[in-house]
Formats: sequence, structure tokens, C-alpha cells
Amino acid sequence: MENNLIYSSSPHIKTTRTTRRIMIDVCIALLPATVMGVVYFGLYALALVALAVAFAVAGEYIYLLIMKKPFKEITREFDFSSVVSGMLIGLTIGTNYPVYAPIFGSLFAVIVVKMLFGGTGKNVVNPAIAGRVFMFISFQWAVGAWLLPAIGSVYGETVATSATAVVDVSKGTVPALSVIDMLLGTGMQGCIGETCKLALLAGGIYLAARKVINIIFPLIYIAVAGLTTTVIGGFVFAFFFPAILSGGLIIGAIFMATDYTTTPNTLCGNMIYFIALGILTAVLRYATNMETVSFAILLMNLTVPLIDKFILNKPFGYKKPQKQKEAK
Amino acid sequence: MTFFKTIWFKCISCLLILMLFSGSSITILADLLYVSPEMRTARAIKKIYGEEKEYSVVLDVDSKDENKNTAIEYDGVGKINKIYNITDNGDILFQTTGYKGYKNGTITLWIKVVNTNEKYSIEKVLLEKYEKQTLMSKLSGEFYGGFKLTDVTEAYNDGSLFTATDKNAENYNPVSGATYSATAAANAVNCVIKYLGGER
Amino acid sequence: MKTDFKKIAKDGIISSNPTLKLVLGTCPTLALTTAAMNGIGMGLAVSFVLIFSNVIISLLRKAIPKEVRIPAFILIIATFVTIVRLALDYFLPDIYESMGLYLPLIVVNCIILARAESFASKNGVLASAADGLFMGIGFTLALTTMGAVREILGAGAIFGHKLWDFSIGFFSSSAGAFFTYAVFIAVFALITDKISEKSKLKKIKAEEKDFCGEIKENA
Repeated sequence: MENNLIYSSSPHIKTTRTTRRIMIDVCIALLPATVMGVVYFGLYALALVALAVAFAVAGEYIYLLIMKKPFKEITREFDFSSVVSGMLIGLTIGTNYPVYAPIFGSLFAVIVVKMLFGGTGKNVVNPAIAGRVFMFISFQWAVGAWLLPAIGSVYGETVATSATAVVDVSKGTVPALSVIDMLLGTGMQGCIGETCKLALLAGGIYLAARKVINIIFPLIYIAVAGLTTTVIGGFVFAFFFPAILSGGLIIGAIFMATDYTTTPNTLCGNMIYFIALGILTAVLRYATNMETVSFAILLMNLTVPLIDKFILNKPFGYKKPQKQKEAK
Repeated sequence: MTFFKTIWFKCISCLLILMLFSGSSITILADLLYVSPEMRTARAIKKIYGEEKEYSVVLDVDSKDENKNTAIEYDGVGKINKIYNITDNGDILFQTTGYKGYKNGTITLWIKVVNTNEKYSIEKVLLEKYEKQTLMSKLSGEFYGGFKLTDVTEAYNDGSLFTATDKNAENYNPVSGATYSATAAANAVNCVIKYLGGER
Repeated sequence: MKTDFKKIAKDGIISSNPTLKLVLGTCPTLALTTAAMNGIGMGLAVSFVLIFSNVIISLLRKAIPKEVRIPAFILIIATFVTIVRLALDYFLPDIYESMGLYLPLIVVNCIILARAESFASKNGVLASAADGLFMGIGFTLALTTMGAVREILGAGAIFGHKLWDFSIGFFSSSAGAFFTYAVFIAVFALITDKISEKSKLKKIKAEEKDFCGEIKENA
């Protein structure tokens, strides 16, 4: 009897958009990047992503089982948010990481950052970002050298093993790889999902078409980051495209910075958030000579409650009071 | 007479008496438990050689001998505080202070130099103390172990001093995240290289 | 008034454990639990200062006017911390070096000031000494176990001996310090709550038996 009557407060809108459907859309949007990652980096990349997803789902199940929820209920209410987190964690590590890295990263991200704080919609920071930072801090000792992808540069150029494009731009030299190479991800070192920018952009367009994310904000983030890098480099415009197309900026902007829970509620707040993200990423990249997208997103996630406290949403139906004309 | 009963008087007198007692007890104990420079040297020798050894003083800033107590200074690099000759095996033990640390602080090291047929080699480096450095925990045993050198005079003639910043140098010993402290430590070892290379 | 040493002991180690229940002195807890040996060293130093400062403050509790009690307590505590520093530098220089900056910070360790204010200034000398001893033991145990866990997970070693090559660097970092601390507080609360529930149930059952026994007798 209870399942037939739905009791809720207004507004009473029925729609087919459920959390599960949105998350499945995000998974589909991530598929091109995953496929290109496997093509470039081989089956080990597929293993890493699969392990990350498996243990993300396992983490959610373990936590809910410990909290004494029945197994059938967990499966019935399963929204694919942990699958999305797992895929992102798998895609943001490189094949130079050991096989147990995504296991611990996924478990930490799902159990500590998401479930302990209340589950879907209550995470304090983006769980995929937290997992990536966890793996970055913890497994530096086991990380080997970056591997080059299976498909070399379209123009036949080679990249020195230690100088990735991020480091080059932050040091003030135009990197050796051409823009087309960076767009396609050929001949470029990087994490599994972040090298083929074309696939990521395709996913982003799919998400925008399905109205899952507002495409303006990631574009603002990417553009501001590029502009800040050119300004820091002394207004050298040749830095703009390499800065945008190197490192994890595009995957971070489209998939991680746009998580619903960790972005502000208002338009004005979102503008501030994404512009600040862009500036912060560029400045931190310049200061530390390494990839700082995940740290910038982590920091800005923590400031979102502050932004929401001061930039308030207009209440539904609010009209500004007319200024009283002179009394007489 | 009523002044002696006010709260003011009681409070201040209480605090003064406490200060008197604690001051005197700490002074007495500081004297009893004083660790003299000779004791510190003995501790360093124990750590380096595992046992006590006899030594003769070539230079010691803490000694009372006027001829032997001026430190040898190298501008912008550091200074040598103590030079001891270990009597039974001809080793030389230096205590040097390296400049240019974090916030212009210093690091003081004990350096064991082995003398085989007039060829000097740096074998072991031990931390004695430091000033104004905050990330000393990043300087691991491996870092100090990187200060080994097989021929000091050759290194001096080649001009290859220890550095924490120059990647292409032969004797590059960095610490990621604590470059200033690593530089001060490197400077402390470079004093020994300069001394054994003949620069005074 | 007879002092209940069992209660003081139980309070110090379990129900009012300064690190895990009262959450006092978190600065050395977070900073020095990277290795188990540091935990023991810090715990012993704090215990020493706790016992002696408690004794002196308890002896002088009638003489110190209550308006200046905080400066007086800090004076006494600082004296003992200095004595500990001198003694450690003379007798145990290795521990002195490994504790570094945190030894003089014991002066402002909240545990010592809190116990001086809330216990030593109101109770007798023997009770205060016992309280200092057991609080110190509780602190040392908490620090050592936290240090052991962080050392095993974060560096693959225990008491300086390397166990295996695998390590999760997160637990050696400051973020791991906060995380481990939180998990320890939660687990400790869980265990102590379960134990106190069980003992409360036992007490209620025993009282019921007595009560029912009385009724039967009178009936």
C-alpha cells in the first residue's frame, strides 16, 4: 500500500529524469574517452578502469551492508553515481600506477568522501577528485615513468620523457607537440582518459545536448585558465592552446568541476566559482610546475558553502519591492 | 598593615615566590645536567664509530687555547668550527656550519673524512643542530648518505661542489620541498671540500 | 574522604581518556603519531610533567589565590617542562632530538592545564598524583596505538623496523593524521559505549534481582 501513494511537498512535477538516468548519461559520455584510452595505452588501462569501477560499487555496497540495509534494497535504489566516480578515478591515473592504486583510491573516494558524509548528494568534495589526490599522495613511491601511447605523433615528433606539455608551458617554452597532436592525444603522455581531448569534447557535447550540464561553465573554466596562462607567460598567445590542451584540464572541467553537489546554487555563484577555478589552476600550475587541476577543484569545492552563504537564491516568486515614490 | 592583606599583594607575592623557586631550581639543575661541548663531541664519535676514540684538537671554537679557537670562514658558504684528528686511524672529524638555509638559517654537521695514502674521502655525515629550519624531517638518512665523496681534492680541483639546486652538477643532492635546508647542508659539506682542497 | 583510585584509573584510561574522549592536546597527537616510538617518548614526557605539576599544584592549592591561578599553574608547568628538557638532553639525547620542537610545546598542552585546573586544584596530593599518572598512561596508550597504525600503513614499518615495501603515503601526511584521529575517536566511542551499556544492563539486572528478592521476602 505504501508503494502506491507518493507523499511529497510541492512542486509536484513528474519527470523521467532520475538520478540514475543522469548518471548513465555521464557514463555514456565517458565511454569515448575510455575507448581511446584503451586504444592508446593497452589492456592494462582497461584493467585499471575496470578495477576502479568494481571497487567503487563494492565500496558503496559494503558501507550500506554494514549499515544493515538489505541487499535487495541497495540494488533497487542503486544510482550509478559510484560507477561514474569509479570511471573517473580510473581515467585520471596513468598506466604507470600499480594495480592496487585504483582499488584503494576508489574505496577511499566512495566510502570516506561520499558515504560517510551521507551518500549521493551529500559529498563534501567531489569523490573522484578526492580519490585521485589520495592516490597521488599515497603511491608516489610505486609510480614508474610515464608511458607513451601506442599511436605516435601525427607529425612524427617525439616528446622527451620528463617534460610534459604542462611543465613546458609553465616554464615559458612552447612545447614540441603541435596543437593537432594534443587535440588527438597522439604521442602525448598523460593519464588514461585525459590525452584524447577530442573524445572528451564529444562526451561534453553529448552531456550538453542531454541537458545534464550547462556547457557554458566548463568553457568559462577552460578559457579563463588559458587566458591566465598567457597573461602569466607575458601575453604570449602561443601559450593559449597548449595550456588548454595539456594535462587534465578538459576532463576536469567537463566531468569533475560540474558535479551537482559541489557547485554553487546560483548563476552568479557559478560564474565566480568557475572563473576562480580557471585562475587558480593556471597560477598553481605556474607555481608548482605540475598538474594542479585536481587540487584547484578540491580547494574550490571547499569554498562552495561560503559562496552559497553569501550569494543567495531568489525565493520562488520573489519580486523586488517597488521603491516608494514621494509620499505626498 | 592592611596593604599586606589585599588581593593585589597576595597575588604578586605568590607569583614572585614561585618565580624565585622555579628560577633557582632550574639554574641548579641546568648546572648539574649541563652537556659540555666535549660531551657532544664524544656523543658524535660514539654515533659515527660505535665506540669512544681518542682525538687531538687542530681547531675548536670552544677551546680555551687562543691559537686554536678561531673558526675558518668561507664567505657565503659556511664555517668550520672544529677539526679533530682521530689518533688511531688518521681520520679527520670536522664540525661545520653551512649557511644559506631557510630564512638565512644554518645547519651544523659532523663530517667524517678518511685519509688513505693522502687521498681524502668523505664517508659519513651526521646532523648536530640547526637554526630556523622548519622541514628538517624531510632530510632523510638517504639524503645524508648522498654526501659521500671518494676523492675530495679531485672534487675541489674539478670545482664540483655539492649542490641542491643545479640538476646537471655532478654532486647534485636535492630534497624535494626543502631546497633551502638541503642547500645549507650542502654548504656545510662544501666547507670541508674547500679546506682539504687547500683554501683557507 | 577516601580517594577512589580505581575510579581515577578508569577515568584516566577509558572514560576520560584525554586524547580520545576529552580531545585535548591534539597538536602533539596529530604531529607526533607518524611513528610509534615518538608516541612513547612524548607520552612519557607528558606523564612526568603531569604527575609532578599535579602534585605541586595540589600541595599549593590553598596558597595560590584563585585570581592568579592560571599564571601560577603555567609557571609551575613550564618549570617542570624545562627540567624534563634538560634531563632528556643529558640522559636520552636520541629521544630529545626526535621530539624536536614539540618538547617545549608541552607547556601549552591542554591536558596538563585542564587537569591542573579541574582536578589538582580541588583534590588531595595522592589523588592528584594518581590522576596525573593515569591520564599520562591513557595519553601514551592512545598516542602509541595511533602511531603504530599510521606507521604500519604509511611507512610499512613498526618501531623503526621495516616490515614490507608496501605503504599508503596518505597516512603519513597531515591529512592522514586527522583521518586516523577521527577513526580512532569513533571506534573508541563505539567500544566504550558497548562496554558501558553491558555494565549498565548488568547493574539493572542485579538491582532487579535484589528488588524482586525483597518483595518476595516481604510477601
